[in-house]
Order: sequence, then C-alpha cells, then structure tokens
Amino acid sequence: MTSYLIRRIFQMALVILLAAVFVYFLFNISPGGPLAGIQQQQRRITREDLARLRTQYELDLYWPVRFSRWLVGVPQGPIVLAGRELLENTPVGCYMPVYEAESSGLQPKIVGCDDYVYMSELPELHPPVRSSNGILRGDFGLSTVISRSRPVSDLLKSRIGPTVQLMSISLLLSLLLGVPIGIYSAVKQYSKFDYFFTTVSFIGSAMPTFFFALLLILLFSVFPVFLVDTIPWVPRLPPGLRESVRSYEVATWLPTVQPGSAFDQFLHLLMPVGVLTFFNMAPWSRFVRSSMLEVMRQDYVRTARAKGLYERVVILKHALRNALIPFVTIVVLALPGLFAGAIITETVFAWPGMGRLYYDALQRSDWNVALAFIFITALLTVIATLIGDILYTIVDPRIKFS
Amino acid sequence: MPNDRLKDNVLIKVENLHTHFFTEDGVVQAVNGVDFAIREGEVMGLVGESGSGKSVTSLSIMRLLGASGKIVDGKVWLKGRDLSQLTEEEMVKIRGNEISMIFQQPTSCLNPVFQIGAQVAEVMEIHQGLGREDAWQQAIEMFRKVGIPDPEGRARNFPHEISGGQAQRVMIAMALSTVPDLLIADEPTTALDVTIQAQILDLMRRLRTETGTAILLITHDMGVIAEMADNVAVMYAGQIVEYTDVNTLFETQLHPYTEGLLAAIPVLGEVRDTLAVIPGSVPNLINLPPGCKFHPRCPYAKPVCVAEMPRLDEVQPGHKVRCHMRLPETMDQWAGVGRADWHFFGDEVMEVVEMAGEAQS
Amino acid sequence: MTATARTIGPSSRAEDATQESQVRVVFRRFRRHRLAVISAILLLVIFGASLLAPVITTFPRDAIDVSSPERPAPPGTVSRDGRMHLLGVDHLGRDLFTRVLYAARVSLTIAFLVVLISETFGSLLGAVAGFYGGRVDMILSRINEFMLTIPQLPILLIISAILLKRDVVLPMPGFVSRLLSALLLAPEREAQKVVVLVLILVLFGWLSAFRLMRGMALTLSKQDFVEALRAAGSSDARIIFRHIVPNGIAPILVSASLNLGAVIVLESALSFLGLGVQDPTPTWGNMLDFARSYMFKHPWLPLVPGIPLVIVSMGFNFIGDGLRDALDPRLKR
Repeated sequence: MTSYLIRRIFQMALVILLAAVFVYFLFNISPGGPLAGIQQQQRRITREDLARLRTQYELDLYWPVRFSRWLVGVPQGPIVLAGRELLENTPVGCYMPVYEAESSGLQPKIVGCDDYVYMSELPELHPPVRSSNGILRGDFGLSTVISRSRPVSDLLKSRIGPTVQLMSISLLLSLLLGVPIGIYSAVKQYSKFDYFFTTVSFIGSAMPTFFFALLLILLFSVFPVFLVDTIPWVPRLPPGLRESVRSYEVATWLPTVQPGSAFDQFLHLLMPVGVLTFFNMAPWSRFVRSSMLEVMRQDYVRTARAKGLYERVVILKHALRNALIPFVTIVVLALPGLFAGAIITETVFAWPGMGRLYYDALQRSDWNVALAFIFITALLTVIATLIGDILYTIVDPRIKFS
Repeated sequence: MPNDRLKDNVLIKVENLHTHFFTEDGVVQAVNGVDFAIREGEVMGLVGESGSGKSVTSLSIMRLLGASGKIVDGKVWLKGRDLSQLTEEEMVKIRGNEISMIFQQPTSCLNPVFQIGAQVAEVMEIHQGLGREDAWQQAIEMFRKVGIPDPEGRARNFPHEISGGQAQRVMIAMALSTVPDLLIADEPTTALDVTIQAQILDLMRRLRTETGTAILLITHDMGVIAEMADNVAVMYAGQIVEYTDVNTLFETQLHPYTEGLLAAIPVLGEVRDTLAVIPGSVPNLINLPPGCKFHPRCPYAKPVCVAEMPRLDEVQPGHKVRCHMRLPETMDQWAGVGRADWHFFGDEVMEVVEMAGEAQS
Repeated sequence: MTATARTIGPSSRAEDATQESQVRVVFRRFRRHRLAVISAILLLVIFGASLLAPVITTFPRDAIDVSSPERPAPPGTVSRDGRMHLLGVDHLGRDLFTRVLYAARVSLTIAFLVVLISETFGSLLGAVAGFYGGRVDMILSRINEFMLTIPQLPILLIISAILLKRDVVLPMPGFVSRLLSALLLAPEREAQKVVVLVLILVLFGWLSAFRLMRGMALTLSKQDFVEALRAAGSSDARIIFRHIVPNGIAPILVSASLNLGAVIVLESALSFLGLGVQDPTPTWGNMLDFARSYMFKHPWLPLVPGIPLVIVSMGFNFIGDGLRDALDPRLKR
C-alpha cells in the first residue's frame, strides 16, 4: 500500500510539474505582456532603456532561472551555506545582450552578451517583492488588471466562498435527486417515470448550459415583468448577482426582500443552482440507472431474492452497493468543480465566484490570475484522481493495489 | 411414485403448471402443463436439455420469475397452501426458509462486496431473528458442517477469494441453515470440476440424511441423476414426458427422448465408430410444433404424433409417460417396430427405423 | 404392412431466405427510431437552408439597416423601404434571418471539420496504441486519461484567449483558405481565424475516438488472424488499415454523431463567452452573447439563435442514439 502511494505521489508530482511547465509556457507566449510593448518601440529605444525594461520583467534572466523563480521562488541570491556564499559568480542572465545587427521583427536574435548578471547581483537587481515565493509555495504573483498589485491569492480567496456555496449546494442536490431517480428508473424500467426522466436527461445532455440559463432568466425574470399587468401575482426572480443592493419586490403576495437577507440570498441562488443541478443530475441519474440495470441482472441479486429478502432490501442493500462503485469515481472527479466552479453559469448570472473571475481575467488579460486558476484546477484534478483511485480500492473488495 | 424407503406424506405438489414469458418477440411458453409431487425427504430429479423448462419450473415454485414471467395456469401446493396465489409478502417468508434454492455458477451467486460469512448470516438474521453476533457464529457453524476448512477465517473472505467448489459449499450452507423442507438445486455441479462435483453431491446427500430436507435436483447430467435421485421426471419443451423412479428409468425408457438421452451416454469399454445423438434441436418455445412436441426429432414419429398431443399416463405401475407409442389407444400402430439405433448420426437414425420396420412387415 | 416411419427431419425453421445487405439492415433499424428520423429530417432542412443561404436571404450578412424602426427589432419588422425582416434585426440593425442562416453555415462547418479531424486523428492514434501496446500505448493512454479528467472548458478558454489576443493566423495554402471561405461564407481573413478555433477544438475532440479504436484494436490484435497476417508478410500499416480500423467504424460513427452535437455546443459556448468565433462572423453562440444584453426589453432575441442551436444539438444526439441502436442492438439501453 505504501509503495503504491509513493509511486502515485511521485507520478502526481511529475504531472503537476508538467502542468506548471505548460502553464509557464502559456504565460510566456501570452500577449499584452512585456514582449508586445518592446516590439513596438524597438527601433526607437536605446540599448540601455531596453535593458532596463527587460530587467523590469525579469527577462534578463535565463529562462530556467526565471522558471525556477516562478515555481519555487529560488534563486533569490547566492546560496548561503554555513556562512559562506556559494555560486555567487554563476551567470544567471544577461543584462545587456548583443543583438544581431539591424535585425527587426518579433524577436531580435541575441548573439552575445556584454554584461552578465551574476547570482550575487540578484538581490540588488531583482529584490524580492511582496509575492515572489513561487507558485508551489502558494504565491501566484500580483494581479495586474483586476485588482492592481494585489496578490492573486488574496483575490482567489475572496472569490472562493461564493463558488463553493453555489457548487456544494448544487452537487448535493444533484446527488440527492440523481441517485434515487436513477435507482427508481432502473427498478421500474420502461415505466412512464423512466421515460420521462430519460427524456429529461437527454435534454440535459444536449442542451447548452448558457442557453438554458438564459431561458430560465427569460422565464423567471423577464417574462414576469411583461405579464405583471395581466397576472399581478406572478413572481419575479432577480436575474443576476448574489445579493441585491436595494430592497425589491418579488411578487405582490410576498414580503419585500431586504438586501443581504437570507431570503434575498436564497432568491439569487435559485436559478444558478437550478441550472447546475439540472446539468449534473441528468448524466448522474443516467449513470446510476444503467449501473443498476447492469447489477440487477447479476446472479447474486437473484440469490438475494431466493434467500427471502424483501425486494426493497435486495435493491437498496445488495444491488445498490455494487452499482454505486463506479459512481464513486464520478462524484470524486466532480470535486475539483467546487473550485473551478461553473464558468458559464457564473458569467450568465453575474455570480461573483471563481468562474467569473477567470472569465474576467481572460477578457482583461490578467494572466497571473488566469494561470493561477488553471494551475490550481490541474492540481485539484490530479489530487481528485488519486483520491478516486484510493476510494475505489476501499469500496470494491475485488480491487487491490497493484 | 411408490418407493418404500420414503415417507408417504406429500411435501410439494405441482399441478398442471403453465408458465409463460411475455417478451417483445412473443410469448415464450416455457412450461406447458407440468404435474409432479415430491414427498418429504425425497430426492426428485428433473432432467432435460436447456430450454426444456426445468429451471423455469423451479423458479415458478419459488415465484422468482421476474417481470416478464407469469404463472398462467396451475397450482403449486406446499403443505396445503397454493404458492401461486400467495402475495409477495407471504412468499418472502417462504423463500430461504421453507424452500431454499442453489444455482449454477456459485461464485457469481455471491455478492462480491460482502463477506461470505455475512451473506450466510443474513439468512438467519431475517428468518430466525438472530442478532448479528449470533447469526455470525451460526454461519461459522454451518461452514464447518459443509466442510469448509478454517471456518472462522474463511467467513471473512470475499467471494472472489474462494474457489468454485467452496462457493457452492457456502451456497449450500446458506440454503440449509434454516433447515428448509425443500432444497431446489438447479444444476449445482455443472460448472464445477468433476472431482469437486462428487464432493458436493456427497455433501448434499449427507446433509439430506441429517436434516430430512427434500431435494428437487435439476440437471441434464444423467450420471448425477443415477447417483442422487429417488424419482426422476424427464422434461421436454415445457412438459414432463416420462416420470418414474430412478431404477426403472435406467432399466426401461418408455419415451423416445429418454431413450435417446441414455443412449447418448458413452459406455466405458464399448467401442463405437459414431456418437449417439438425438437429431435436431430443441424447439422454439415461442412457436412450438403441433401435436407431440418431440415429434420433429423422434425416429418413431407417426401421423398421430403430429395431429394430437399425447397425455401423460401411467402406462405401467409407477411409470408415467407421454407418448402415443405407449398409450393403450394408439400403441398398436407401433407393433413390430424395433428399437432405433441412436448411434447413427443425425437423420440416418430415421432411415434405420424405416428399414427395420419394413424388414419386419 | 410397411411400417413407414415418416421421415420428418429435424425441425428447422425456414430461414428468411434473402440475406439483406448490412447497410440495408442498419438503415431499417434506424428507421424504427422515430426521434432519430425526425431529427435527421430537421437537420437536413437546416442544413439545406444554410447551404442555400446566399440564395434565400435578401439581406447581406453584415448590412446595417438604418431604416429599421428600432434596433433590435422583433420578427416581422418592416423597414422603411418596405423590406421585411423575417426574424427581425439585431442590436446593430443587421437582419437576423440572414445572420442565423449564415451562422448555421459557420457552426456546422466548424463542427464537421472538428469532428472529421478529431475522429480520424483519434482513431489512428487509438489503433496504433492498441495494436502496438507497450510503452506507446501506456504513454498515449495516460495522456488520454488525464485529458479526460481535467475540466476542458478552462483550458480551451485560455488557449483561445491567448491565441485570439495575439491575432494568431496560421499560414496555410491558398486553396485551403479559399475553400474555407466558401464554406463559411465569410471573407478569407475570418476563415483563417476560424482555422485556429478548429484546431483548438480538436485538442479535446480526439479523446473518445481514441478510446473506442484502442479498445477495438486491443481485442482484435490478440486474435489469431493478426498473427496469420503477420506471418504472411503483411505490413503493420496494412493490418491496421485494412483489418482493425474497419471493424471500429460502427462505434466511431456513433461517437462522431454525438461529438458533432457536443462540438457545436462547445463552439457556441466559447463564442458566447467571446472567445470563440468573433464578430462579425456570425455564430449562434456569439449572437446569443449579444442577445443577452438586450433580452430584458426584447425577450425574443435570444430565442432566434437559441432555438436552432438546441434543435441541431439535440438532433445530433438523437441521430447518434439511433445509430447506436441501429448498428448494434445489443448495446441498447
């Protein structure tokens, strides 16, 4: 067991490292960064000014050094061991590169170096800033657009609450609704119940989430406004955000909603949770259904009946226990969603969560935020996969670590 | 079926049972008029090929037919109650308690996620009201009784950790833990090695003597019948075609099908060029042939066989058969017809009968 | 008296004599699915309409109708010079009927291209992985597994954002560019940007085809006939292409159909978020994006692009379902 765990963790670390490299690669090619500006002004800028610009964005350092600093925050300067400075004269970058004569275009070719940057010069040229501990130590740098110069991690922390609220409620509801529906559909196969929910699930798998969300808004926020003349009692849901700023009326027969109250929050939660629950519940109920159907055909279910067990016990104890085994993995893999949220749903409903933050970051080119999001999502996915595998071995006695 | 060794009290009586399955492709007439009785402590064998209706008969007794199966006619009497009319509530109390059943492929009959000890204990928990601990101890006892070594340890195993033979022992333990009146064993040894087969059959015999449980043994293996059964009913296309005690059956087969079945068993020491085979194949249960269901494959078939279905009649004391060739009113048509040589392969067996018939005319 | 035992042979049911060709059998079974058939018809109608788009629309795609009484305007609006806008105009005054049809062209073209490339690519990779096994298989399968578990949307979004902002244009031969431009009914510049989007979508599109074909290749490779072929001197490529791949066509077709629905929805989602197809190239997704801002006063606006989107998406799903049942009834339910 321990050797398996060690092996898995090692693999995980590898994957995460690769993810980090990938993310860093994206970061470097992402536009709107330092390179673009330089391209523009290249011809008019002096070598000294160019050098200073490059330093500002750490571009004077060699990319492995840059990557290492981004990842773990080292090296910041010469390594101090037992009072002595090591590696202080190792060149880690080039302050004043020699460019190929008269080259233009995207990136002038660098053919030499006039002034190297040494390890010992690091603390002076690149003093540690507020956030430079490296991604692996939880430091994602500073946000450049959304919250200028605020650490990204602060921003993430502020947004995670609403997302977790939204996702956990809808995941829970999806489970509570999806599993029983799946079971009942399997037990009463071909019944009206089954056909109805098969259709519903079908719609759930084919319909785009954003259109469904828009439809809901149309139905519950837009049309009621038009109908209010003819049908005065029709309720009206707020179309977006998490809380209102002012008090408002939902329907004539309901009390006025106070901003920030529980009722207010509840009303704002209704539609986004509805969307998310629907789109999770549909495939989950299908899965449980087909898993149950598979299991119920097995010999041991017939044995359970032959033993004189009530049908309810046969289904819920003997059959379900087996049918849910593969389902466990699916649920576990949905957990990274607690963080990554639902980008589309949050955007449509203007929900102040992680998904919307990511969307904003992409729109406004705040790459530190966006990349932090991607990295954390990848990390969570890898962890969730591991947990899922371990859980599987616990839940199914036939599977061993091998 | 008189057999002095057995008690006279009838334990279970199946009367004119008809069971059909209603499927998309049509109505499958799996059981078409089956009558038999089992006495207390008797071992009754039910023989036939796959598709003969033997398994469905047993499932009908247990009322485990599933959604598409239905007992459309007939009665099943157990100690004075008609099982076919009971509610599900009442049936649940009988299953595993008064009537137990074991199946083929014992390993797949055990739930893979529960320990085998728990699965046996479960029966006692529900039918005898034992608590967890007591039931578990009882289960270990049963394991010991059925010959599983290291019962305490084994009880914690999961089904995938034990062999097929051990699994069947567990199933037997499960079935007999409530000391049922009847044990239905549906091909209990078919999926097992021959050596294990003998052990399991031994075990069943031994336990039967201890508990006095009657056994309905369903199989296609005549060897198993010879070893275990007191009485035998041969089934074909959902009907019983021959019904007598085991010794008589092996001495004289009145029905052509039984003749063929026994002829098909190779005899040690006998040297033959060809295997004995019953020509043709089992009929489609949705579209049964008219008249006698066996006539398309019968070397002795005559026009009356196509026209009319023969009734099951006791043509000799203690020996019932369903065949025009044996029924008093029609048997004259076969005067002078000799026994077919089943060792001719396939259709040729028909020709020989013709020739033999002609030769004697 | 001759005792003739009438030789009645083994009861053999007369087999339905004619052996229907495989294709006809499949076709017949497919027809039994009413929903699949209805979907196929509807899709053909939409398909046909989009093909005829330049013919049946009276307005140019990007033309802003300044004479329209309001913008956006509901269906049936007649502009001041007497021409009717069948589905109204959008917030800029462009005829919606025209744009919806042109959008059908764009979305359908993208979907077909993506599915074509990813199913082909995925099947080949899968066949190779299953056939050769070993290291190759392990690496490819791991990648496949990982990509199946990570949430696709965030990654697609960021790649698209990066490439879009940099205005990346892939160099391609002239005829490709022209062909695309004709398919999309859009100027070449726009077509070139669409290519980038297609490639991004292929990134996650190959996953299901890979798994399907790999499974097929694994089972088939173990069979004796592969050994026999090898011994007879058949090259690996030949074995793969002539024996393994054809066997996997059926499930790949099903997967392709389902994928078409998924890709259309995915592309719409990306466009809806502004990171897919860009205005002025119309696609149902970006039309929905614009509709969003105006739907409070003009509730019909999102329905115009939304309804065809749902029809097409569900249609592909139904067809995939019908195909699945038609090609292998054993997989039913």
